[in-house]
Amino acid sequence: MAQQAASESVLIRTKLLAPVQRDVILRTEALAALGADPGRRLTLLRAPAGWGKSSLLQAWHASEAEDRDFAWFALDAGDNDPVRFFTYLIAALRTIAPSVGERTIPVLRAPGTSLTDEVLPLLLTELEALSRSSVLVIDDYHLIDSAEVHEAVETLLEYLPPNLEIAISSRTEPPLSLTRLRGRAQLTEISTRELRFTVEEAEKLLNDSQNLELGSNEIESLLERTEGWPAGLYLAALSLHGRADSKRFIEDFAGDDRHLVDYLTAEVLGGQPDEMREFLLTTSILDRFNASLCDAVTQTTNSAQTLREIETSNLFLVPLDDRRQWYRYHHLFAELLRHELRADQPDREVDAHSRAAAWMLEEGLQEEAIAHLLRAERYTDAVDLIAESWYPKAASGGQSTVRTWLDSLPQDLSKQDARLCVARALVAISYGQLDEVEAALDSAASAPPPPGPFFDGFNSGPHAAGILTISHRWLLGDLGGCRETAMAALSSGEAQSGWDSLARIRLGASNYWLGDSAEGISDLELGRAGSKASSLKPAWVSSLGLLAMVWIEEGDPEVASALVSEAREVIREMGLAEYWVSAPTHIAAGGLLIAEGNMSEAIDELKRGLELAARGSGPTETAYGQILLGRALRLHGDREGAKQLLAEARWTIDASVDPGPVVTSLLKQEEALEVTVSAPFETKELEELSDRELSVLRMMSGDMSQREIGNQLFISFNTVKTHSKNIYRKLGVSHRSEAVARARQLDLL
Amino acid sequence: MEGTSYTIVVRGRLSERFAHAFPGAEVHAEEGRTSLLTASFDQSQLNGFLQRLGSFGLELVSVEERTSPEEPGKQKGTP
Repeated sequence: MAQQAASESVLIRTKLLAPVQRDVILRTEALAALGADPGRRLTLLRAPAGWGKSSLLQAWHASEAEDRDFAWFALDAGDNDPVRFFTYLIAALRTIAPSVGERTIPVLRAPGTSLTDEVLPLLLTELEALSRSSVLVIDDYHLIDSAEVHEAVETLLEYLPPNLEIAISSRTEPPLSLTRLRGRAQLTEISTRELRFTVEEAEKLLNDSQNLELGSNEIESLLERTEGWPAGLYLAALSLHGRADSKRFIEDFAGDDRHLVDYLTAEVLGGQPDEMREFLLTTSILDRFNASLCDAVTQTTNSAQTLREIETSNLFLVPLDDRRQWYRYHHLFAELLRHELRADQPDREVDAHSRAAAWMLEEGLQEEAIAHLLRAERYTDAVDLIAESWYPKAASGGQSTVRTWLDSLPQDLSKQDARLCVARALVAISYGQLDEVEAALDSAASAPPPPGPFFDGFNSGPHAAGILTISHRWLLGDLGGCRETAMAALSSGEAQSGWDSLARIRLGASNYWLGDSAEGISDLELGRAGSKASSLKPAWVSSLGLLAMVWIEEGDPEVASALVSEAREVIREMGLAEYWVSAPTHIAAGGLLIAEGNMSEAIDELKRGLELAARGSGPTETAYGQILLGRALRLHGDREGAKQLLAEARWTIDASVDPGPVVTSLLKQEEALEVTVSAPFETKELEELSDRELSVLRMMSGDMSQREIGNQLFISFNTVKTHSKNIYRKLGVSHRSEAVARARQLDLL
Repeated sequence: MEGTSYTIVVRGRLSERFAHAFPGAEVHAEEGRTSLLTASFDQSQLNGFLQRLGSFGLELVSVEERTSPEEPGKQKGTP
């Protein structure tokens, strides 16, 4: 395992290394534009393939005039997963400031956290502490098409601390709002105009660096034909190597109207010995490679030597580390090679991907192996590997990657594999896409038994679907439905596992909050014992917190206090501090502090509990936490704050399908204690509702849940919540039915 | 949504060698330029296709909706 972790970290490290400087053609003019400018936030290198963007960044980094630290992040398509994107981005920053991310990474990896509301503010605070002026390079940004990543990068740019500059290279104009940065002169843009080779630079490349001994006419002729396009000049230089008749070649080339990439690729590849050509074509499918990987893919044993030869002959090979172990091809060249391979020998392409997948798997790089299997269209093998890998991936914040895997498979395959249906359901639950959950669970229940084992204790499609349905009901605040599905799952007689304990815990919690306290406590205790004995530690933490909450409500702080201590111990040991299963523990701890009369600490605990609850807890824990926080604020003398919290609790309960009588009557009691003196509507001027708020308000008049409203309007659950709060505030009401009534009164509906 | 066929023109003449590089399009080399006649594409397919042209370092001259009489069955845009 240690071996595997080591090789994974090496491959990951290659994404974070500035490519090694070689063959420096000093791009004097382009570099001048990058001269230090303390007010600048963003440098954008925007030009098509082969214009020398990465090389310029590299030269900038190496130039004597530049003494800042550089953090380097080379993207690939997999970085569209926002969690993965920021994991690497932070890892890149850690190469220059090792303490960055200490607080951010646990929050980033915890399920259900919000990138813009939770992760970025933390990261920005950590970046404030950067002791040296630094530049963060993000190379190949055009590979990003995730709106979430764009939004996050934009936020990062907006609040960037003054000692950090970001440099982005991209083939296309990135969809970031650059107008503001331009207006404030915080942006430097480099385009093909600055990147075009001048005569002097061309001469340096062709004569000094490549030793071609060309006359000035020939250089000008090449420059004209290639229009100063760096990749074109480079290809031309390669074609000219070892030719006695360079003059004639240049004349032919200049007089030919064939596209220069087409022309020169033929020349360059045609000039290679067969063996070398085969090697280049076969390894072109790899994003990054070392000799061992090349050996595996080409089925040869001398790749180390071949790589050295390629490097010496300048064939577009970019070394990624000083020890010359990892390399990549120049992107444009790789694309050309891949095309040749596909046109020439499509079967070889598939074989190469298969062999690359096998090597990755051997090295413990499952994610990379899956990518190659998918590209080889070896779907059956991909299904098995995804079924094996998705759960740990999703549990550490990689839901978006799991969803991409599932979407890359042919539908008939992914829908017929019960394991993948379960994956789809769990990912959809974490995104709050509840319609999709139902469909996926139906498929999971009806799919034939899968060829391989289920993960971690699930026995069959129907078993997994049964357990997940319970969680789904809990998240909808449907306590009756939760009790019913939990009882069905538990009576089905499947073997015991951590997941059955989870069903038991949900059953107990539902019973308790439905008003059956004795039954509820006894089931929660069973669930606690079962989950403690299983490998499902988050369920154990959940049971302890939920029991502690129940004992607060029962008026027994001693029992509750012992449970909170036990839960805290497990949370610490298992590293679950940022996980939403820890929310009830904080809420119960807040309840204890209220009983002790320590309101200010109670308020902190309860706020923390609600922050965690927002990442994935059900409405029951959330409403209970909101009521307690309202109480603590009232006792602390903050009447406005208390009122606000009770309105939020009312909102949570209204949004629940079947909240049960316990929280409902608790809220009523608490509301009765508030002396509500709201000003009459007429004296208040109505603050205008935004278009978005009006659409949410219109949907509120129906019987859709807030999640459903979100799905309908293509906005997140949290955004619906924010809109609703604004609507309530603007209309001067505290819950949904009042809002609708008030809106009718005002002719808004 | 039904797709549209496009005629995409890039600078430079592309040889046979490139005929397979762009699945979903017929490659017609002309003097100093190449026309690519695409199959019926939706917007995301068109964007992907244009990106692919860029990744080969090809320079775009024009993109037009194709309503030529060659393929009357695929005409679009008139009610």
